[in-house]
Amino acid sequence: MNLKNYLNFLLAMTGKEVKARYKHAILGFLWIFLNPLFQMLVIGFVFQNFIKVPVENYFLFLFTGLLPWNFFSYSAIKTTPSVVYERSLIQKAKFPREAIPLSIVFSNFFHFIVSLFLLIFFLLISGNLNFSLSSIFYFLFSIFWLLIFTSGFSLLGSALNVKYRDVNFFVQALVILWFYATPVVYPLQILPKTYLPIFQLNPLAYPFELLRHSLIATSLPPTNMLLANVTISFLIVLLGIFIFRKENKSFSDWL
Amino acid sequence: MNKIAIKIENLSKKYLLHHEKPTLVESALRFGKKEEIWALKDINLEIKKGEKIGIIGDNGSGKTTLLKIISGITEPTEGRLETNGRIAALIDFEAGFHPELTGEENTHLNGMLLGMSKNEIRKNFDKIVKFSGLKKFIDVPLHTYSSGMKLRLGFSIAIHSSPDILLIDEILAVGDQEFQKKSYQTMQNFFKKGKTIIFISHHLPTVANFCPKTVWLEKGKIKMLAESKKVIKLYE
Repeated sequence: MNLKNYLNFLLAMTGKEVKARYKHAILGFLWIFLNPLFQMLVIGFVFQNFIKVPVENYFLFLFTGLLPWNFFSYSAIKTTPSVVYERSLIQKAKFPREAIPLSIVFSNFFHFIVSLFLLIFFLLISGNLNFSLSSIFYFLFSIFWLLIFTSGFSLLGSALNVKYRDVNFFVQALVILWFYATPVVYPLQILPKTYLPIFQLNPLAYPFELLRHSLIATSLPPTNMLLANVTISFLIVLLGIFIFRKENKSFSDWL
Repeated sequence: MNKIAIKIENLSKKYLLHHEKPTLVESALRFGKKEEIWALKDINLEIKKGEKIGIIGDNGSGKTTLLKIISGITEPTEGRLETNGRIAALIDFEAGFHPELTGEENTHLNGMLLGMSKNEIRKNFDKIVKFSGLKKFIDVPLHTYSSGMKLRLGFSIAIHSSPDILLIDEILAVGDQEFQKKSYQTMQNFFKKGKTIIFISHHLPTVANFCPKTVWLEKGKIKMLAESKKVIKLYE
């Protein structure tokens, strides 16, 4: 398969994911934005009234964390069992197997981008947008980082889950833990300094803070966290590609 | 010009029989019993372009495994496989359809899964629809299709993917009488057209009729490869 056909194929698979999701939903694509909006209201209610997170404009702050979080968590949870779910496809024909998890990641990324632009539009008219050349760079860098990391993580999870179906349960539990271990409902800034080294192990910490900084000018964590997060992200992506390439040849024997 | 369509050298395929589901803990401690099964052992086969070869053998003799390896769905454990040209395995026509998408959207996706390019599908789309006889239903979601309709669409896409090598596993009995007649004619055309064909069947007269040469598989090994009539006589 040449590169053009390969990309067309990936695009077609992604298109399928996007189209199929909102069929029969009356509000259709509006759900891209409504979904995180409802989440924001519920979580915001809890963290403003019961556990007070000392952040100005908390609902807005929360929303800028929920969008990337939804992208990552939906992708992780849906891709991990994806190869197993698509067993009939795998038994039918020879095609690039990575299209199965990647099409899910890309379709979620598409939704992520659309909702980000809606958010930027809202920030713009409400006068809260942090606009500068560096913020554009930070914005692009952080969403690119999230895309690459999520893709690598999805390749890893979906490949391992073929032989070890426990992986699916593990990822489900991990995602819940990860939600609280990532600066979504709180900024790193309000934590005691002694906790910061833990976040060096979480490859989502820096891109989340960076994305938020680029949108609403929150403060950034230290540079050594950037280096640690980039390194771990890079290793997980490499591992994902390596494991997927190794395992995908024998997928059909395990399904 | 390469005259060989498929070349198989010392090819073997091992399957692990899982008596218990492997989990991380079990496999780490090596609790799970694993039994090895050689579905294919030391297969050597060379098929020239345009040849039509039948494969016969009892259930579990490795026919389907061989077909899966040639089509690239699974990899051999040992040995080498070389193929020249686009391969279409005529199996599992219903797989790869998304129930929420329309017949048209599914045709595009399914065609790409079979290795067709976007252009090829666009060019062949009318032919595919015409052959399937589903013109009226092509813009409705797949979940409203009967299983016969899905089979017809799947079959129609597969035969229009312009394969050089066709792998056919048994039943060509797709759809109703009329559609069966149509697909039978298409098959005959493929056989006449100089395509390379591997045909697995338990229906020996059909094998003898369609394929000059036949391979007899037994317990994962080639027991005999010769003129179809001779092989079938001995097999019976």
